[in-house]
Amino acid sequence: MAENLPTLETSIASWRDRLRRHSAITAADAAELEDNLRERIADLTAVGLDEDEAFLVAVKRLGNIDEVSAEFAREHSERLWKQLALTDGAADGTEVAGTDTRRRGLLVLLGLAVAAGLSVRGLVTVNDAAVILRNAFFVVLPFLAAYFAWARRVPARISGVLVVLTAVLALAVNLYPFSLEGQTIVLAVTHLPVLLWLLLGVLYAQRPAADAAAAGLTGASSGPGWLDPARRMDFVRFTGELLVYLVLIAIGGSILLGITAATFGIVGVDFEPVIEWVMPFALPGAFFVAAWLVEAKKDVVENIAPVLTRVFTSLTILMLLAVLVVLLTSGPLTEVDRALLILMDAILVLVLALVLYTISARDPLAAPDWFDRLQLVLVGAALAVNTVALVAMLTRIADDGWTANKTMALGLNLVLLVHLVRTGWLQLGFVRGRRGFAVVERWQTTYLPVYAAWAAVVVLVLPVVFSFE
Amino acid sequence: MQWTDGMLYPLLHRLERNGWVTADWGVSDTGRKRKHYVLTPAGRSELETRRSQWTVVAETLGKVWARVVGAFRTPVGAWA
Repeated sequence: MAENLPTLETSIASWRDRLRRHSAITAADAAELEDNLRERIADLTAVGLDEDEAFLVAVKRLGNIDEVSAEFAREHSERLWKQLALTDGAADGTEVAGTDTRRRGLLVLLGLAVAAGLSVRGLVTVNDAAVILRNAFFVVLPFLAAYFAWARRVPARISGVLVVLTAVLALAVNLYPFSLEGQTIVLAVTHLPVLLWLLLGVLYAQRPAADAAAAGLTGASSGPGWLDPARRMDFVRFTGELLVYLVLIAIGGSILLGITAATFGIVGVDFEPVIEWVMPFALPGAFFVAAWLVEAKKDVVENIAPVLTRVFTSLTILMLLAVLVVLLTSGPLTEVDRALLILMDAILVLVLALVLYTISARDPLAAPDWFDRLQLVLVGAALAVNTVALVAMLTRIADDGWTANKTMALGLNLVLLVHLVRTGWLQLGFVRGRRGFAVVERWQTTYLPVYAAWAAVVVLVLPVVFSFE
Repeated sequence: MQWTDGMLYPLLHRLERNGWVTADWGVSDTGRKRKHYVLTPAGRSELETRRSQWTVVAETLGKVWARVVGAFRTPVGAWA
C-alpha cells in the first residue's frame, strides 16, 4: 500500500499537468477540479477499490478534459485572449515594485508626446511647405529618442554623439541651398527618416540598466547595446510591431475624427480650427502611444507577427512574379519608365522589410520547414526583379548620363542586391541543414548600418554632388 | 454531449457570475484547499422563480396529458 501512494500522486500530477495545458482552465480551476477528484478517490477506496482503480473511475466521472475545457472556455471566453491591460503588475501581485517605475515611464512618455505635439503645432504655424518638409521628422523623433535615453539611462557620451549627429543633419537639411523644384531635396527628405530612425535604434538597443548590471555580473558582453546582434534584432521587432500598432491606432483615430467632423458639419459648426489643434497632437500622440504599448507588452504583439509574415510572404511572392512578368514582356528594358524603376526599388525595400520582420519573428531554434523554403522563393523572386531593374537602370544611365534620382536608385539597388544575395545564400544553406538559423539572423543585423550609411550619403553627399538640383 | 462531474464547475462559475452563489476558498476536513459555494438571497429568489415557472409548466403539461388520455379513453369506452 505504501508503494502505491507515490503512484497515485504521480497519476494525479500528470492529470493536473494535462489540465493546465488548456488555456481556459486557470490554476484555481485546476485546484477545484483536483479537490473533486481526490474526494471521489477517497470515497471509492473507502468502499474497497484499489487506488489506481479508484483513480481511473474518478477521472472518468470527472469527464474528458477536452470537453470540460470547452465548457470552461464557453463560460470564460476572455481567458483565451491574452489580456492587454494597461494597469499591469498589481493585478497578479507579482510586479508591485515595477509598477511604480512603469507608471513614471508612461508619464514621462506622455509629457514628451505633448511636447512633440506642441513643436509640431509650432512648425505648422510657419506655414511654409519647404520648411515643414525639411523639419517634420526633427520635431517628433528627438522626443521619442529622449524617452529611450531616459528609460535606458544611456551614457552621456553616446547621447552626446547622437545629439551632434542629429544637429549636423538638421543644419545640413535646412542650410543646403536646395532648388525647391529639384530632385535632391525630395531625396534628402525621404531618406532622412530612415537615417534618424536607425540613429534612434542606437538608443533603443541600449540595455535597460538592470540588464546591464546583470550582464556585468555574469561577465556577458557589456559593450554598447547597439553592437549586440540580439539587441539590434529587438529593434527590428520593435519597428515592425510599432507599425502594426500605429496602423491600428490610425484607423481607429480617423474613424473617430470622421464621425466627429460629420457631426460638426451637420450641426453647422466649423471643424477646421479643431482639426488644426487636434492633428498636431494626434499624429505624434499615436506614434508615442504605439511605441509605449510595444515596449510594455512584448509578448502580446509577438503572437501576431508570425501570422502576418506568413500571410504576406505568400502574397508578396505572387506580386513579385506578376511584376517580373510585366517588366519582361512590356518591351525593351531601355524604354522602361523612370518612375517605374523607382517604384521597383520601393517594392524591393518592402520585400526586404518583410524578410527582416519574418526573420525577427521566427523561433531561431526551430528546424527548417516549408515556410523557410517559401521565404527562399521570396528572396529568389526579389533577386530576379532586382537584377532586371539593375540592367534597366544601367542601360538608362549609359544612354542619358547621371542624375540624382538615377544615382540614388542605382545605389539603393546595389545595397539591396548585396543584402538579397547573401540572405538567399545563407537561407539556402539553412534550408539544406548545413548551417543554423543564427547565421541568417546575424547577417540581417550586421547589414543594418549599411542602410544608415547609404541614407547618410543620400542626405548629405548627393545634394552637394548634384549641386542641389 | 454527455454530462460529467467536471462540467459542474463551469456551471457553478456561471451562477457565481450572475450573483446567485458566492464562492470562497476554505479548508476541507482532510486539510486540503477547498472552494465552498453558498447560495445568495438573489440566488434563492431566482430559484423560487424558476421553480414556480417549472410548476406552472408541469401543471399545464399534466392537464394536457390528462385531456389527451381522456380523449382516447372516451371513444374507446363508447365502442366497447
